[in-house]
Amino acid sequence: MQHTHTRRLALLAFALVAPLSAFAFPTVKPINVVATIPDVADFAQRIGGDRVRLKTLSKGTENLHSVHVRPSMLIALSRADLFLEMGLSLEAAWLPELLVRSGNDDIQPGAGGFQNCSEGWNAIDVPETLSRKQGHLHPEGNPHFNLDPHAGRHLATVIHAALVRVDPAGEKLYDTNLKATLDELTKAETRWTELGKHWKDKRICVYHPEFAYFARRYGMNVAVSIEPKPGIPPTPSDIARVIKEMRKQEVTVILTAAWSNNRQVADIARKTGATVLELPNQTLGADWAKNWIAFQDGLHARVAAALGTPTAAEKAK
Amino acid sequence: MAPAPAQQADIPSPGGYGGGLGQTTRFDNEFNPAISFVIDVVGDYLNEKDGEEGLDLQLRRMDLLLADWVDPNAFAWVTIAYEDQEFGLDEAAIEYIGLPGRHTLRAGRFFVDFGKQMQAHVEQLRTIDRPLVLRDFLGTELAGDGVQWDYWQPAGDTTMVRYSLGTFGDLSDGERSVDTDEAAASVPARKRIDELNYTARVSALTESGDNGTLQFGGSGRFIPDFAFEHESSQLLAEGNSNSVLGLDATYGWQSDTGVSNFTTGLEYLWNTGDLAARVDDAGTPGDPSDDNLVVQNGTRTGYYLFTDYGWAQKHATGVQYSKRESSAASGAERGELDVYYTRRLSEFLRLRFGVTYANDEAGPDSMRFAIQLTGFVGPHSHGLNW
Repeated sequence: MQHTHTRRLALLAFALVAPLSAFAFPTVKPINVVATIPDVADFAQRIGGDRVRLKTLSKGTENLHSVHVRPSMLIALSRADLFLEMGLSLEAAWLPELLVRSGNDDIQPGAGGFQNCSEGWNAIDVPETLSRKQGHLHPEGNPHFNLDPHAGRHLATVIHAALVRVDPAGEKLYDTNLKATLDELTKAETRWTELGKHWKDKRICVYHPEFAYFARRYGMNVAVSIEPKPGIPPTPSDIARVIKEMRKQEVTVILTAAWSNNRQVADIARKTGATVLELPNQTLGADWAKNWIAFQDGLHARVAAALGTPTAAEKAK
Repeated sequence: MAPAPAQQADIPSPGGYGGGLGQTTRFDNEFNPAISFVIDVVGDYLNEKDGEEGLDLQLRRMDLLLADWVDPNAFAWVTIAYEDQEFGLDEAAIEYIGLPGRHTLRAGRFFVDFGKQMQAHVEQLRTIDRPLVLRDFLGTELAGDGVQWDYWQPAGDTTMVRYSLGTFGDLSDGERSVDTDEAAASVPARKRIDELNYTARVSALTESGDNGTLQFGGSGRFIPDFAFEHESSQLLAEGNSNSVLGLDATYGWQSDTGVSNFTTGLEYLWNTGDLAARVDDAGTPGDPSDDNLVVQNGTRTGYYLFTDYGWAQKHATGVQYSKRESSAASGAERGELDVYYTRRLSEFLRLRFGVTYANDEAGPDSMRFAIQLTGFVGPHSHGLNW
């Protein structure tokens, strides 16, 4: 009997206290953030923490010119409080129509919920004249800046500002998370610089100029490009030119992405003895690229191994 | 108030003294629209059994597209097409996106929203020609002058339903006059609201796994009142109506890298009501004064189904089969089997080889071998395929 009485009292106390807990620990409705690529999403998650509910439009594995538009993308955009794109026309092939059709005024270009993450980024390869004779040009410059080892710092800062803009109540959390992210990046950049300092003037061949920022950061020499112009597949005469040039310049490594690691690349590698290094160009593009820092760690480790320069493990010894 | 720096007045503006042109010029080109064009060249060899045979080469189409924002809530586009030695205005429309929610409104001349293909220009399709059943029931391309409302709504996180309703002045296509004995369709210049022409489409899109998309749709094109006219005999048959209804299903799949893709689909159509009219040489043979215009009424069906596989981003191959019953009294069937290979020389230049075998109950069977070269010049973006 006494046992039952105690249980009733406990239930009564719970019934009285439970509603008050909502005031003591107010539930924050997360803001809906949509990011075009996993690299951007990773920083949105790092900075936003539990205050954001995240949707990433691309998988990280696909060629960003061939992203398959799906219903979930449009639905997520229609509900988004903040939209984050890489910019520099990286998503130009599929994004503009999605944005317009989302019916969400808050995330249209110019609105508070729209953020072009290339804002403030100093792009390279900005074409002087715009003509398709020069291939598939991006008018504002090379858009693959997520591959620059220093891009994390830029992305984190831009995304932090965007989150504060759409959710000022979370500023304190965002500030804390930004600081932690920048600290982590500082350590990572030190790690990468140690590896990259051996790569100055190393000659490489690329299929597409997606690794331009990465190479430039360490003074690598992109001696040969298999695509004669960005986005233009090589003809047999281009292949012959590439082989001749690689032999002449003693290029031993070809950097390529999964969608451009084709028979032509294999043929060039066979005839020049070069190593083909197939790398993802986005976070989540491989099993080991679980977040942006891990992605960069993996890129650095693989490039070091391919070039025969000291790796992180060797450095640790 | 602080005095202006003394030297300021001595600095000429970039346009010269006096503040340059200010806003006095009417000939500013900074707000020019985006301009692009498409050139579509087709060469083919046709071999009809006991009929036409030989080679042909033609600039099949040139589409000149102008597009830009009108204001923050509306954009507009114009497509001027060169085809069959003539220029024509294919599209000139404004789309208003400033309505609340996910409603949009377009007005002007634009391609009707029917099925999966009628919204696109023929050179944008995966085959060299539009499927037979669409050509015959709706037209090679079907644009109308009118207004269309669009709306879509989510159903969960991965499924959406889209609706459109259009009303037009004339969707009769005007191509039912296929020989001198047949009459052309025309709609009255002024109509009651129930005499306007209409289109409607409902489609549902959902995701199937991480890489697949599934779509089901239903479409209708309605012409409540039109007349058949035979020009040379001045015969007229009024009070006709015609509807085309369609159901479609499409499945698309793309690999994780986007390098390979696979699409397959089916569209089934019913063409019902007044289908065609033919001059009946009644009374005295050869005397047009006592001839009648006989309207063919009934329902004809047709369909197309296709499978397309793309690989290495630059290659695609596929097969498409289309069959329909003729609108003529006989209802004779015709089928066309297309097999094609597409090579993307770059993102903007496409080469295609196609073979078409046609089997026709009312005419000669035929075989056609075709090469198509299509170049897309200028600003470029992919639309949504509802």
